[in-house]
Amino acid sequence: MRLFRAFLCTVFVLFLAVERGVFAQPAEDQLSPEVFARGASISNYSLSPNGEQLLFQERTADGRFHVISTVNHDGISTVARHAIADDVYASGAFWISDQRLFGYEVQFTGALPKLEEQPAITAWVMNADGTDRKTLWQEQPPRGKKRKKGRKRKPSHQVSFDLLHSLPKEPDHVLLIRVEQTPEKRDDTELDVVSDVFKMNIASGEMVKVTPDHNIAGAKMFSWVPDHAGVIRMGYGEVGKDDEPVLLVRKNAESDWTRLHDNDLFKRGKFFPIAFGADPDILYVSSSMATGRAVIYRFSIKRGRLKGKVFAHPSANAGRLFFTKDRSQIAAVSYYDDEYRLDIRDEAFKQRRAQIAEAVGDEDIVLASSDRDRTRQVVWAGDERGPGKPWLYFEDTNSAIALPEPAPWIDPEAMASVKSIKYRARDGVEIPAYLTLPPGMDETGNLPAIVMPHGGPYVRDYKSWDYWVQFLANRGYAVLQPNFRGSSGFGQRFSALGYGEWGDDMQQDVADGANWMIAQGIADGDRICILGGSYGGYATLMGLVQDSDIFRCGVAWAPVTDLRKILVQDNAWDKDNSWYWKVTGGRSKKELKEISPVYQAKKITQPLLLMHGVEDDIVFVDQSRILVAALEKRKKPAPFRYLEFPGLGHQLETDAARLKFLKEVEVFLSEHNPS
Amino acid sequence: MLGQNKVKQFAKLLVAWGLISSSIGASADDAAQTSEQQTIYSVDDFVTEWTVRGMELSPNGKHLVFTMPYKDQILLLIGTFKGVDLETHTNIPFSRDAYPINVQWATDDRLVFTLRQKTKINRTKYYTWSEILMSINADGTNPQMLRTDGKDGKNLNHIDNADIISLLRDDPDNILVGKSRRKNWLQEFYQGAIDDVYKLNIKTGEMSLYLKGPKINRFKFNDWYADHKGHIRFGYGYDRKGNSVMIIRGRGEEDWTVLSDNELFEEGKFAPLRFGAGDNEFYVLSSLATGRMAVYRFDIATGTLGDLVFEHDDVDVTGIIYSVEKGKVVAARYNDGGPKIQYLDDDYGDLRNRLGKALKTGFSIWSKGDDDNSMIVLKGDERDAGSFYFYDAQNLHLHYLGSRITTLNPEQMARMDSVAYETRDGLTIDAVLTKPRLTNGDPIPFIVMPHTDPSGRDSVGWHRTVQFLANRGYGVFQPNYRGSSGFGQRFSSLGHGEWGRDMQNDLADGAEWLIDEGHAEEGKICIMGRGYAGYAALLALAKDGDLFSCAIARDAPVDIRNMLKDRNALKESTTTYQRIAGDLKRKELATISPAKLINDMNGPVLLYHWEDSRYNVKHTRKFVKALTKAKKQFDYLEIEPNEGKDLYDANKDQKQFLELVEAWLMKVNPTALLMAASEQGKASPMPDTTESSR
Repeated sequence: MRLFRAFLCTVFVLFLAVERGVFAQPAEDQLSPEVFARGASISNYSLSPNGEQLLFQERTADGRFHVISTVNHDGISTVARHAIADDVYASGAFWISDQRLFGYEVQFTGALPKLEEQPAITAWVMNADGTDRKTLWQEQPPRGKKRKKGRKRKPSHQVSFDLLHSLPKEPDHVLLIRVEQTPEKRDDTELDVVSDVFKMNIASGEMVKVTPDHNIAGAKMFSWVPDHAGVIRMGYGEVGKDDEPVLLVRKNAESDWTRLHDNDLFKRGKFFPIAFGADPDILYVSSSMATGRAVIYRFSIKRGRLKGKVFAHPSANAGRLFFTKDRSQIAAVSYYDDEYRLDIRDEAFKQRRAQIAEAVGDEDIVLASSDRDRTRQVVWAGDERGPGKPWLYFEDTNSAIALPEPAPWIDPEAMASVKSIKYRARDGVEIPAYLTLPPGMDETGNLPAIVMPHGGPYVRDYKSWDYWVQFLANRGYAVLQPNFRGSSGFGQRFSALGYGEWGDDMQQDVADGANWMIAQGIADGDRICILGGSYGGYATLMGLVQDSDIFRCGVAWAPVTDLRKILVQDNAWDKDNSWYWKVTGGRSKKELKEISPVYQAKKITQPLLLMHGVEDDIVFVDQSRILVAALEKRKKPAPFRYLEFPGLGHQLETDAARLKFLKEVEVFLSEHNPS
Repeated sequence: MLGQNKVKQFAKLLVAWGLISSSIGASADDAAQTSEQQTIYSVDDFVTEWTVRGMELSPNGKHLVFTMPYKDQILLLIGTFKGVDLETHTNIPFSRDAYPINVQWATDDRLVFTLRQKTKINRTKYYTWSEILMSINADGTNPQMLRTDGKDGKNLNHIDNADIISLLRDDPDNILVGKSRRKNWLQEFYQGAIDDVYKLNIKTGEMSLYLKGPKINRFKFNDWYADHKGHIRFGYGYDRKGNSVMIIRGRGEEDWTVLSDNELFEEGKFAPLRFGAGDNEFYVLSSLATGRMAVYRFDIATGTLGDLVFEHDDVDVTGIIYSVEKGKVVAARYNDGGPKIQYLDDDYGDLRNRLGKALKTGFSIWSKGDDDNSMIVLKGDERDAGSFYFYDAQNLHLHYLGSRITTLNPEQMARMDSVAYETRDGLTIDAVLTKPRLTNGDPIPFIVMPHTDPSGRDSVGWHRTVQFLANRGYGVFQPNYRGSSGFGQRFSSLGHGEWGRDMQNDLADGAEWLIDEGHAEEGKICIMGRGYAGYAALLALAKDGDLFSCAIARDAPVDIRNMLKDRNALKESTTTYQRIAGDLKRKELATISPAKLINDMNGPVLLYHWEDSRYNVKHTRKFVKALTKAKKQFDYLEIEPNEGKDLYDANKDQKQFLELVEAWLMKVNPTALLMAASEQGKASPMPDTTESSR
């Protein structure tokens, strides 16, 4: 068996290794990996307030552009293309009036951010035709000493600006918020955060400080929140040496601040405000205290009491509130159980959605940017089998025109559907998961399968387009994405069940998912591999350590391999730190070794493909390097291949990196778990 | 000590019982005619001793055993059913200082029970209850004391800890008992460890080692489970860190397998129930999956959790009903406002439906023979402390046997309702609402009566104090404030560290709800409780005087700082401190201590403190002094037990307390019915108390 030793190789050789790989001949229904690896060519659709112009960002072989078009019932015609400079890492823009755009550019010294590199940010305004461009502010990255490898992170002094409100009624002005972060004197791993609000004249660039007076001596306000009209009506921060919370709200720009932090509901963090109502006395507040899931209530500022429940779901968190046009009523509340759903309370809202669905010919729609009067609406249509198809809907004619697609090379009909399922773990806990079968296959296929635990781990998988899943399904694998215990979105209890369960209950849930697929006849018990990134990479490695009888191979991207080491690096090796408890569960150093793959390398007896970005500043690349060293010391070697992705961080950010990743996976799987 | 004479003259007794039965029938008829009249009962009528206890049907369903207090005796009575008629043939009188509890049929002919005996503690003047196993034939012959401590019959100075592990139905002479190896009985009693299992001959008292407890990682075991054949297959205990552990083994004498999923087996979140029909089939309760107890099958061969048998969406499952004849779980129990049953078997559902139709009220199947044909049914609900019936399921005969309380007519008792209200922070609280039987819907005086144990729970069912208060014209409200059990772990944990804060606010929010809903008359709400609830009552008067106008506190802590000090828990980091005061600093304890908030108390207070209460009486005495000094209106009654001689008698204590409450309420917050009771001479006079001088 061939043993890959890529660790000490140069970048050049690493790429060569890929080129030398032998690819399986694609079967007729197999799509090229490029189809899955290629990033969207169009993004960030934004409609001007009057609805007559559309802005989006386009990526072509020639570069990236902010594209401005006029739109009407007949179609869309480009009027301007503003190139984004090649050295810009990311850029965004949107309308702040019918003529002017606000935008920002993020730059690093190279094309991608280096380890812990802070960006330079430029904010600008300009006319839609590109004239009268003004730079609003420029932030240079703080110049600090670079952290030595393996040393603790330390935050640095930093000032940033953000657009707080575009003040549509005052086309010459915007509200900005300046956030200054200063390392605390008594603990330089903590930051003091103070915010100020400025009103800026976008023609002259003149800034006037308009930070409201709060009359609380010594309070440091983190943030100020404007209502939809741009009036600053809320502020939050902290005061005193015990960092007592400060939460202020007021009815209008003239009225006194109400100190919500004196109210029992807010004082101890049970409730927090989420939206202003049309009635200035009403605040929409959220709390998960009662049920462990976010519930939305109305709150009367004057009475200081709750005023009725707005939304509570028996199994999911309340999501976003949607208001009627005049903001007097709640039109709908979103939530996500096994998929995105809306609880619609307003008949007009419901009808409008139905009309839009009919106009675009798809029930599965998400409403995006609209004009001021909501007569024109950007709509995304489509399900998890594609990244979505954008439309522009016209209310007056009840019709829609297709907008340029972000990924026209993807044919949803050729992709796999994702099914929401549940299985019971060995200790009775019910685990929600997503099952994707290769197109045309049913659940009795006894298929080769991949279990794909998500990263985090205290986040979740959604039912949405996922190019890893779709690529694997296209290659003939059944893919299971377990939302193992600890995953968010299923209530605090379910999350808390995962605290301190790394390599333990959370890991067993992943194995139980594989066992469930076998018991159901979905998967062939001899042909299951495990694949994941970040925490999912850790779970992959621990799957190989603990369940080598279930998983015949594993693919880990940017995995954590030494729990204690990464906690120390993250300043979290500290019993006062909640992350410490979430990861360790209070285990001793010795016990942590039992659940750290690097100390269990000799138990990894199945083939492993290990990959890591060199500039990863979330899971440092040394986490993989130390594992490689440990793997090489095994007395009983098993096939493994290690690749570093130079220049890349924690995410597979470029088309090239994604393609390389998929091709590696394909070669590895076709050797160790062919479909 | 033990009269074993086989007396034949039970006629008198049975007539007495029969008379009682017929008087119930008569009073029910009376009620039909005079239902618009509220009968006023005396305190004695409520705190009366139960007429009959512990009815158990023999395995063949033919014989019945029960105990019955009669004058200064407790009688153990055994009878045989001829058709549906019970012929009592054996009467064994016991004294009230040594009487049987936990009576069980070992076989159709022989009983085992625990003899509970008042015993002087060596070298002290104090008495305590000691317990020892005994057996006796159903005809009263061959009584046998089953000492397991190797000593002779005398010198019974401790609880002889012999827990019955199996009655070994296939072996009529023997049972299995568990024993601790510890010499110190006190330690043994509190730890409840069972190290070894012995086979005990119930005819001769001979004992032999049956299972020597295995030495595994210094585990201690509390429970052993034997399968149908008497093989000990399953041990449940804890390790040195206090984590729960389980060991299992197969049918033969294989080695034990250690199951180490500490989270799954955690005590309080897991409960072994019983073996099922199959060799490896066991049933357990576990709350790991949802935070609420649910029933699962458990495979003893592999030590893995099997199928989910039943779970409820909102509350804990509390137990299962298993039919040996059918070899399956036929129903699961839960408490949703009141005790409820989910049928998991059609025949069982039919049976219950038939009984429900005949009895018209709540009931439980109290005891039954092995064959499901004959059973003892306990009819009872919130208005009825319980009446026993014999049911012949084959011939569909239901026959009345007798009632627990004969002094009260259920028709005259008040209804209880399960209600819910929302707190200021959006939590839904379940509560029990009781209103006097003949209320016209106008707001009435109320007593808010939170449960004593913060992790307890109130539900609809017979409650003599509630019925007494309703009989005196008060509405009674029992909120299951946060921290109460039965509603899942999340709800329980919401009470953690919330004494005087969120738990307290729930009571005020409940009172506000009572007023908003038009149940309670504003300014006429009293709050009353014992232990924690007594504390909450005092604090309510201080913090929510706009809602509560008087407070009754029985055996209550009055100063949190002192209470914590008494328990060596004044450090903010101790679990006891955090369970009570949460993140409050030590200097902030005054904000949740009634003794520090006397100035805020503006309504009358009644304090009743039993000297030996777990809350030190000296703090209450100090509190009383402070009340006097602050010129607050109060009454204080301290109960001094006859030291050394009297053992605690709950009936007597309750009688004393209710009489005081009645007289005191007459003084501070009377109702029309209370005044009527007083006029009829049924109300108690105010005893001498330490009073505020006014």
